[in-house]
Amino acid sequence: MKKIISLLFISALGVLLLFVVASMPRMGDPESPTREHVIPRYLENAEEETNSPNVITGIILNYRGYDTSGEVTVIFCALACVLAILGREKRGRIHSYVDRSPVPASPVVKTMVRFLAPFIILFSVYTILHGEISPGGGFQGGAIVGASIIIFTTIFGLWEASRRIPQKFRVPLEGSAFIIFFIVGILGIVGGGNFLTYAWPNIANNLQPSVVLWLTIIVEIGIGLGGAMVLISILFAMMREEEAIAPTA
Amino acid sequence: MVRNIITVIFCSIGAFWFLLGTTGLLRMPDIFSRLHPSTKCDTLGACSVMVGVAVYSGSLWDILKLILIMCFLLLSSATCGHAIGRSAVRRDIAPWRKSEEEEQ
Amino acid sequence: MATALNVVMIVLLILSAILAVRAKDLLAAVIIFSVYSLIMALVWQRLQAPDLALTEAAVGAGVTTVLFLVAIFKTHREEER
Repeated sequence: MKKIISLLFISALGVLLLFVVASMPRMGDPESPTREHVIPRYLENAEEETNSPNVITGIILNYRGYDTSGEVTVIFCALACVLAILGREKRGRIHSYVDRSPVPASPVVKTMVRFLAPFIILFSVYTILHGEISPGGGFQGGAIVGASIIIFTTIFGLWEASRRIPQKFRVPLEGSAFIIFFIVGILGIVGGGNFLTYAWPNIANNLQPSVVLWLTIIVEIGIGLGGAMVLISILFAMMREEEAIAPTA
Repeated sequence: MVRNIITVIFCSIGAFWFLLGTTGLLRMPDIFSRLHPSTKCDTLGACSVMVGVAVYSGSLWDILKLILIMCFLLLSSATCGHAIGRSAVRRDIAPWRKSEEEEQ
Repeated sequence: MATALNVVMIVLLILSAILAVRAKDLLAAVIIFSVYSLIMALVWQRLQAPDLALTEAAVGAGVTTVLFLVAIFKTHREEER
């Protein structure tokens, strides 16, 4: 009975959704409503106004700066929730089941991780700093840094990883994304505009493009650092084990 | 024209190796023999597809990027195979023997 | 040809989504979910959204997979019936 009711409900929902899909504009339709209001303005003026050839970066960080600062706050809230449940470690080094494993990690894998991790971090720096021009940006680069540290932690263990990235280094940087957004917003007010104005009206016109560019890059770096540190802290909080036993290896 | 033909040949070789690798992955009896086709299809298949793409694109920077991708792919795929095989050995997973199946 | 590729990718996407939900072995479910993320990244790339493709590949296939694996190691591998 329950199954029949849920089947009926799901098929009704499916039919409804199919009707909606039928009335949606065709993919790539130039006359669809999403392309008629703000998109032409973005596409025409974005490069000039936000000074970033990658229009998406311009929209995310400049036109929709409020939205992005909200997203950054959501990521930070996710970390806060994880830490509220699992708890933050006390100061000092921590360990995980990787450290207690009787079998040491294979030397081949260790060598390869040691060899590849710098390249991954280099790629993430490229993704963050080149996000103006090519696809990528703070979020993506931060996720790639997080991935490289995750590889390192799963192979070498939390004892080693928490020595490389100690708590006193992580804690201030976790909120860096929102803090930098806030500082850039205040700088916008100081420069004579509204909150989060990148193009300060108070300065000379010929300086404005470089100011916009540098503010965007600073925000990207902030988002990258903050996102990476949030991911690393979530991983450390999840992998860490309570009892303070010294690792065998 | 010649370039297109070379591209098609290399991509076909790559696709063929991917087919062989997937078939082997499904048909082989145990983890050790499955590692063999799966790492083959990563290295040989993907690399020949990338050689084909490099010939097709022809621009220097694309070729350099593809060579980098190939290097990283070879390194990471070999390491993955090693790690899986090592953990299987450490867990005392018995290798498959022909006689065991006949007995059953 | 391009349409066929799209159809193949969407069918794979739906299949992997269903399999990830249905799998009883949570480790298998996590791996299928990372396959889902990789196909999704390809779909984003085909929809000309490389930024999203990069995010999906890094976060979906990389970070969340490892976080799920850590969660499985800390709990039970099999789903409770």
